Amino acid sequence: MDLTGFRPIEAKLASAVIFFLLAAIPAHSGTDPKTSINEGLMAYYTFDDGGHDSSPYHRDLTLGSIRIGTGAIGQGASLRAPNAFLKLDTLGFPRNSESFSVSGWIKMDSFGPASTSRGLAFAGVSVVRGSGLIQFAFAIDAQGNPAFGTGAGTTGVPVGTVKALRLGRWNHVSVTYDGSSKMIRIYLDGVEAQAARIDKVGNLAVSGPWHPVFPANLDAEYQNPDPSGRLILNGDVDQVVLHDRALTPEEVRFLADRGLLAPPDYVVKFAPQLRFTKDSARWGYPMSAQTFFNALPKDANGVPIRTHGGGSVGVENNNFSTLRDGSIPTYFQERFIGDQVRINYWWFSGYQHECIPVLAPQSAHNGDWEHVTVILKEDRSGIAAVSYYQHNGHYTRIAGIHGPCSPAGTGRCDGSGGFDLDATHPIVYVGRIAHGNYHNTNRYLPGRDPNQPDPTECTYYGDIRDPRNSDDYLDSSRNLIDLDWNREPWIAKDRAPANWIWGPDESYVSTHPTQKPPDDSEHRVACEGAPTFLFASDGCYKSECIAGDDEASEDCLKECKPGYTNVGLTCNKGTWPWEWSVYGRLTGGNKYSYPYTLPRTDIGLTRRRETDQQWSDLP
Amino acid sequence: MMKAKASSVLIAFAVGAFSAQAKVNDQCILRWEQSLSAQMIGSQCRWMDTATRDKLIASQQASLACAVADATDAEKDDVTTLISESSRRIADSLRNVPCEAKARQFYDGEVQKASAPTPTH
Repeated sequence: MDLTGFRPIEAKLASAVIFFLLAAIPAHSGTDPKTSINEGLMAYYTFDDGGHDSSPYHRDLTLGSIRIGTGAIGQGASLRAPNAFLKLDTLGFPRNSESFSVSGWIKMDSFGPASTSRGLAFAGVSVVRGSGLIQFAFAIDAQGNPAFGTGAGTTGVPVGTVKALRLGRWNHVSVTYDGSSKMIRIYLDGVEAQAARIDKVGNLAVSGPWHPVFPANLDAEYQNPDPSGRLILNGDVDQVVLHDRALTPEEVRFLADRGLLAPPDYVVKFAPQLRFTKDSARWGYPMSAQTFFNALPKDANGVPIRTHGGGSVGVENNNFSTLRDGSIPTYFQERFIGDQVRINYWWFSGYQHECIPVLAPQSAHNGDWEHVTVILKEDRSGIAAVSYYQHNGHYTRIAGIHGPCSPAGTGRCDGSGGFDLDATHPIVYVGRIAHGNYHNTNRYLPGRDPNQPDPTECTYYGDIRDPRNSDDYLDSSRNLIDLDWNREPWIAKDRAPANWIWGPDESYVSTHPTQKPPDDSEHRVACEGAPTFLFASDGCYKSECIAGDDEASEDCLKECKPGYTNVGLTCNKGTWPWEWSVYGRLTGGNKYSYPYTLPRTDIGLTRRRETDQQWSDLP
Repeated sequence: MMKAKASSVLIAFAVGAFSAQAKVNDQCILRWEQSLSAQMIGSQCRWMDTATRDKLIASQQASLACAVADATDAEKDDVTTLISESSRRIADSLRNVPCEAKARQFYDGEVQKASAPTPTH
């Protein structure tokens, strides 16, 4: 991005071009938002230099109790202290425009009670309600004119979004108002979330034409320090930009482009630590998908074309030092399901070598995508579950209490259950040949020659995972790339309906990671594959049940309903046998198979069912 | 990523399909628990003679056979695993059972059932 004319949104790419030199460019002189974004700029706060206004008008802010911290890009403003708000002084709009736009990034920790949580994010009165919906309110004075805080007891005309902000991550918000059409539009993350025509006061007791004309400032109600300390945003803002015109959708998207934006903090905090085998270099480490994509033959539209014949494209990463130099990207995609965040972390290997031992042999192929899904606790303080994927299945391990497991010492019952962490990072062991992901090691047997094939090495759990020490680890939080944006060109080409082949060889293996979001049908279930031991397709063999339930060999047995005592084979209510009310645990709805639908709350993942409702809601 | 051979996939499918049709008989499990409880009560209250004990044990064995008659091998393993757990928990729960009329009535009823023909599923 190159925002010439004023300090660029990605401030670090400072443009040397002076605003006034470009001010002569006619409004919307071209369709390129990189240049048109400069037109009508009235104020621009990056917070990299305190409250400095980087626009030509130098309308610097007095920050007061606002603290400067990590922003969406560079530094941002934390509004967590009581009465910390952006106090915008009266802004004169030289062109007397009746249109305007307010844009910026906002990240909230919580929304708080609907009646008290107000996010004083931008100019005008931008309100984040308890539901996380953005409202932009024009204050109306007693004569029905937009007053913007000039009169006490004014009432607002709010326009609100239907789609809520996402907690804990940076959201881009733009509000545009076009004076000629009287259309107000609110955009979230560059996409229009609400539009409304405001040509009347509506439900107010006053009437008449209404023309919002800047200068604007915050409603007086919000400008005065509040002794109750209500006015807390519980979050941060960054890159606040004011224009005296309505930005176009293209310009809003340009401002909202997250390509250079840091990933949400929880994506970094819970990014896996990959552990490779001491001789993994021979079989390939992850690498940039872009490097591989560049090497693929393509048609005139830049879409890869299928080539015939086998063999390697010749692009793989065998460089051991890349584990530590930060060059290996981890691609991620996050989705909210209610309050639950699910994150897919993906790694790309250029080539998967042939696995030829006796059982479940696998052919070689190019373009090997592997991933895990990390499910966070609803408050995002920790990890609730991790799903480990291979092309041929997956399994899930949970953080919550584990019920009795049988048969002991095998499959899912081998070990203490769950998954291991290094600080906040889930530990993921990577198979040396097929690059699949696992929760545990599978070390070389003593005396085993790594250069000689092992009969079981190509089976689902047979791939060797035997790291020497931390030299074989990859900290995937160092280089995270969001698959929902276009930081690397291949990402746009990967999205649906793209159906080209990542592995242009005889295997035609192809996974398009952008088309497999964490909330799709594949990721909705805990596992795929047989629940008992097989050689190749037994993903569920090491998958776990819902918290507290018995983990039997082929099924999960539900913990007993509230009021019932677990008697092993049955659940009994009543003290003595002649008083018992009994139901069996091995039949009907009291057991479920391992590919159950993953819970969308903490219940079942981090703690067991507690109420009748929870008992019936979960499998 | 793993690429499985077709034969392995077929094995998994076959096992899964068979599993869906099999089942454990809850009623027979319940019969087993009641008979076992009667045996424990009879022993603690000193109401049970050797012949009655043998009848109750035979009844329990028949109930278990009935319970797993249509079960898969894995389900049979599950039942086997849980039987010892169930026996222990029932014994714990009956440690202080009162040797009163209701207990006697329950015991007599179970002995009578044990004398009846073997349950079928």
